[in-house]
Amino acid sequence: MDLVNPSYFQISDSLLIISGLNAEAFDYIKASASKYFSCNQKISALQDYDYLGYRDLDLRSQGLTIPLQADVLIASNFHRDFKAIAFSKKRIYSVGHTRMNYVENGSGGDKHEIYEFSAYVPEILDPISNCLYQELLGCPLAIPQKHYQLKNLLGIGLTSKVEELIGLHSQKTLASEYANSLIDQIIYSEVINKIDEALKKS
Amino acid sequence: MIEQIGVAKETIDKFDDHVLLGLSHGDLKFEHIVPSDDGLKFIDWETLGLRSMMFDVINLLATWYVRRAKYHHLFGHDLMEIFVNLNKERNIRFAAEEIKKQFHLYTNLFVLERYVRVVANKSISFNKEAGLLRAINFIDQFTLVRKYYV
Repeated sequence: MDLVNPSYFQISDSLLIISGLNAEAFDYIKASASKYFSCNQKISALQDYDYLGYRDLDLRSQGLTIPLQADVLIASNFHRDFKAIAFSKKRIYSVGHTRMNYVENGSGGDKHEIYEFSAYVPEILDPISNCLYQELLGCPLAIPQKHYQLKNLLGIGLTSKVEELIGLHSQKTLASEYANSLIDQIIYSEVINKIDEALKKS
Repeated sequence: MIEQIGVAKETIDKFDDHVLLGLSHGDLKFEHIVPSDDGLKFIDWETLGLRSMMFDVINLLATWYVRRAKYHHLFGHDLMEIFVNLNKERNIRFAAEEIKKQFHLYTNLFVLERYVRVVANKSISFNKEAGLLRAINFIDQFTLVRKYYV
């Protein structure tokens, strides 16, 4: 999935794409967005292909190049600097790279791997009211307080949802081998030594 | 932390068998579940990754149970019930011994995966030390939750 030159084009009344998306990428995003937004929100997608270019992105937003008339703005990757933009727009969603994938590969990384749609809620928004969710998706599940409430929520399709997710990419492995690989990742991580020192001091 | 890893490893070796890995949300909790007309939607996918099949379910239950001591004794039963339901959907036998084995394997893999979720985080804005200390604290509490079954 190669990216084309930056461009800004309107596909339909409800979906606008800014820059760097070819038809295949667009179709994917449109399908993802449609899947996650059943409401009649206007959806915009913003494919930022240059990590350092967010200032340009900000300038463009001031120049109203970014389709502010849309109700949902979809951005392609995570960075804390997006938070400011997100807050100014009140809503920003991310498609494509997970933060981990993005940081790992850098700005010139593997741009064609668009594999999941994700919502990113700026921390500055009130986490209690979840106003962003309410605007776009409806209220999140109320956190159950009693055990019977928990059981009710578990009974409304959680396991089948998990099953659906697992089914996208599943593989069998021997638990002990997998555990060894996990333990290796833990003990060979730099943070372990730092934690060890911190714990000794406390 | 080292002790918890040791216990997890020892238990996994004792009950060793094949487990299923799959795509996992990685931070599933009630705040990240939104109901819609066509079912539940999960949001905030930045910790998406390949993990053991039960990671998300255990994470969801554990984050709820660790803060509610009076219900700790029900965690094991609830998780077993989910195992049974998932096994039914997969046409896997759900004899008691099999469920018990799955419980031990997946809850102990969960412990390791929770630590890995922190140490493998590549985000430039994530404080790994603080994150790992939170994970250590969480796993300590999780140990209290599951001790009723163990």
